[in-house]
Amino acid sequence: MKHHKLLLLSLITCLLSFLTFFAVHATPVQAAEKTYTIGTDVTYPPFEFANKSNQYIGIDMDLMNAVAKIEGFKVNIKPLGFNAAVQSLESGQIDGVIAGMTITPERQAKFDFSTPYYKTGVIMAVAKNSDITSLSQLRGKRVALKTGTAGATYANSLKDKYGFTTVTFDDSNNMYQDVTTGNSVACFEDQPVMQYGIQQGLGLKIATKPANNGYYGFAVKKNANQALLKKFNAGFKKLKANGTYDKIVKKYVGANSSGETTTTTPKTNPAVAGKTFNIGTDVTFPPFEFANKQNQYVGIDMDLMRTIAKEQGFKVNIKPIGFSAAVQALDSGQIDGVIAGMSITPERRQKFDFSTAYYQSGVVMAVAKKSNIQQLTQLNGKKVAVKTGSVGADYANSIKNRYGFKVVTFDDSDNMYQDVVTGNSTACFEDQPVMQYGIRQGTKLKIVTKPVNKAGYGFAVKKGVNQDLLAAFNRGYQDLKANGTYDKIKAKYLGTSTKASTVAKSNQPAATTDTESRSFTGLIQQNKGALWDGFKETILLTIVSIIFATLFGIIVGLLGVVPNKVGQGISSTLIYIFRGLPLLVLALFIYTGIPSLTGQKIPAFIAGVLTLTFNEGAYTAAFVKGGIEAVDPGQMEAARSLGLPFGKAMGKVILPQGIRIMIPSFINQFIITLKDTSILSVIGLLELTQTGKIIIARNLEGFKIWAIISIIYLIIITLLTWLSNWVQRRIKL
Amino acid sequence: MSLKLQVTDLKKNFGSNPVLKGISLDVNDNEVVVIIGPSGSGKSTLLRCLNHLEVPNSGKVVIDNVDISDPKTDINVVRQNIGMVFQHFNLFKNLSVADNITLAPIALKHEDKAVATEQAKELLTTVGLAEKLNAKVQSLSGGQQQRVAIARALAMNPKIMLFDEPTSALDPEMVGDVLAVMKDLAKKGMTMVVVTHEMGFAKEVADRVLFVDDGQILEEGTPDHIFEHPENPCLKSFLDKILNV
Repeated sequence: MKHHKLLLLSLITCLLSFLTFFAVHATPVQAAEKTYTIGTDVTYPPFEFANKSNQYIGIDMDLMNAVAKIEGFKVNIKPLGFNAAVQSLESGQIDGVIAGMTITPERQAKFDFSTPYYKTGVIMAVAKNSDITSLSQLRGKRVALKTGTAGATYANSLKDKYGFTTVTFDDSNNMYQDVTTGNSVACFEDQPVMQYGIQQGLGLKIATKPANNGYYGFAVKKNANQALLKKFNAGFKKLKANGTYDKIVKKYVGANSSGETTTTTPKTNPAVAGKTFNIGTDVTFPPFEFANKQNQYVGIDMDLMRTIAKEQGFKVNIKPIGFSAAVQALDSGQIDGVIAGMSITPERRQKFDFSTAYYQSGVVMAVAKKSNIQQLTQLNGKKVAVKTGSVGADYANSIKNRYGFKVVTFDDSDNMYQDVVTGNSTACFEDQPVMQYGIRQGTKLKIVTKPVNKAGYGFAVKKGVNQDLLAAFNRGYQDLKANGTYDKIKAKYLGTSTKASTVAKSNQPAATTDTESRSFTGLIQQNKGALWDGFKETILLTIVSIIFATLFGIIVGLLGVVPNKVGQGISSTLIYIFRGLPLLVLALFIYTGIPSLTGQKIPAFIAGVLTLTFNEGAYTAAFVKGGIEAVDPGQMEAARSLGLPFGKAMGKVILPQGIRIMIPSFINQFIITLKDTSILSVIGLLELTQTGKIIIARNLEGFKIWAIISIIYLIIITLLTWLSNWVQRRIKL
Repeated sequence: MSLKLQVTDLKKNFGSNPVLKGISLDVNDNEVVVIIGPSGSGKSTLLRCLNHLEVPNSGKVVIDNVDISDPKTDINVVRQNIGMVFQHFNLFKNLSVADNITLAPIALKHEDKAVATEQAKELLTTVGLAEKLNAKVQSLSGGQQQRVAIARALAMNPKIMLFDEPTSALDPEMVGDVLAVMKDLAKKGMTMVVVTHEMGFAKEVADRVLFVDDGQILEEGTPDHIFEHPENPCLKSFLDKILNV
């Protein structure tokens, strides 16, 4: 034992010293005199990107370095990523940003820009062998865009006019790939970026002349660092005059190309009328999906999905199985589609085909109402709450080292909010609409930052599957958008100003008045239907699982004591595997893994029972084996010496004695099985725990509902213990 | 006199440790053979090899002309004809006295329960425990348990009985009862192989005594020969220790 403690101690020491090491080295180095810290994008060729030796080069980089040299100052380039750079500039962490940033009126409100140093415009690019040369040929076709770019804005403004659909990607590469593979016929991109890409061997060609011209500028914080801005402008002028600027540009961007115009071919969508699709969604992600007081699923996603289904003539069967479970179920083909406020990301695109982005979201930071935290820089040394797998979590993790805060992770929004409300955490990061809605519902938080890391939400189907459904969704969405229904749905949940009214003011009165009673009895009264259903599901799961787990355990346990090496090997292996696997992992593996292997859908209930059968059964097998081995070996010898075969000796002499030894373990295992059913909420089984999560997601009464759920569990466990004791007395030998 | 049991060059190792180093032994019908020897000499292992509770590494065991080392032999059938009595009785703790005795006849010979119980009563009478038919095993003394164990072995009508130190775990005042039952059995003509430290029993009942030490039979002969005119020096020193305590 002592040995183990020592080992543990030294491990912890090692870990701590590592952490200290990283903490020390993560602390930003303060700029020396005349050295300016300049933020830029991580990768935006040809303006900034890392070359093979991981040095940052590109038009912006070369320009900045040349300006610094000519004006006699030093720069410390920090490739923070575009959004982070902009925010760091706003918070005064860095002195300037050069990141292929278009000068816009919104940005001018916050930043002072240099003279425009590059003129850019949006061009359309198509596959090398494509015969598309003009916008009018896009009718009925799909066009790829990159989130938040000028190209995306431009394309979205044109798509109704030219009748094309769009798909949105998070980075340029995936967008290009979508065109080269033929999924999309064209993409819109900033001209220099596209030019550079083609120069680098991209299998695309530019088909149109630049449109929506814009200008890139170097930015400093408004009314700060004016000296730096002046130096930049002066330096830029000199470089332009002496030809250095043109050399830099030429170095990265080759010659221009352009295209002409011709005519179009319309295309029709296949029908989905009359079919029923299983659509997975999150348990609780208001305002996109959540259960209302009648425990019906409502929200933007739900309304949108149902309306589209109605218009397009298909039926949907909504399954609120939780975000992770839904994504996995879609991947394994258990369901047909997922609409769950899911951001369209390149990773997800590997597995899923996404619809047009139907909602633009972004991450905001929220703090307690009374908090005086205003910006990221104030988070140093503090704790920040995030929700597992959310965009907010990704964002928080990407900036935690820079701002020196710690991240705590929760499985659902409510727990995350509570952690901030109670003051355990200082702030949380959440999708803007979700946070807005939560605050309207009375969560005592306020939003203090503007949305960043903007992403589009899309409806997803498995890659290459259910394309009819996807097409129908896209068409339905276009229709709803055109006739105003979409805006109505949005307004219903978010109030009238859907265009990211962001900064915390909580200016809108709650649209839905909350008449739910908040007393214990009131809560039980209101939710008794849901609680009763959850209770029944838990009991059913427990009983069925106990029966199968016990059978499995006894069989495997007996296999472990037969005088046969193969049998013993099988038994030990089964116990080793299923006792070794965490229940959660096993549940997810069975639910999502088996269908992926066999192509056969597996209902959540059966997956749940299988999970418990294997896991609890392995423990049962272990103590069955142990119980048998604990019987005096002389008993077996005496029985065998009489001529009783192994099986009879086991059945008549050994087992009756072994069972007596095992009974306490059996009772223990039954109780554990009951408790472990709660873990099956991850695969979306509507048992007690999941029921609790759903109710809390609606009314945010975490403490009271969990108290009620706890009491119900204790009652079931008490009943189970009584039952077991009664059986034990009956069996007493 | 016909041959009941024939053991040829029996060898048994536990791991790399040889316990039986080549034992050959014949037992005739109605003969009582007593095996004596110091602890760890291999006596019990020899006995347990006779019904394959221990499977020997080599050598042959033939009982009633059936080679039990032959894989084709159904050991469970052979064992029905070999009764065995253990040092620690090994009565089935989950069963009553009656069920201990009737378990095998009912399970293996498909005897009617009433018939088997009747037979159990008779057997209990012969071992002097008629009134204990429905007693629980735990309520019996060691000597009583061992006599029930003998009755249990006899219930299958074995043709040979093996006794593995049947009195070693008993309080001294219980030993006599058990030995009396065994003497009675011997008188009735049961073929018996007995491992024991009860030299008095050996002298009185044995037809032949084997002295086993270090996995070999070092000397064998009549009780008179073994106890009065021992030749082997190991046997002499063994007897010195046993008899002059």
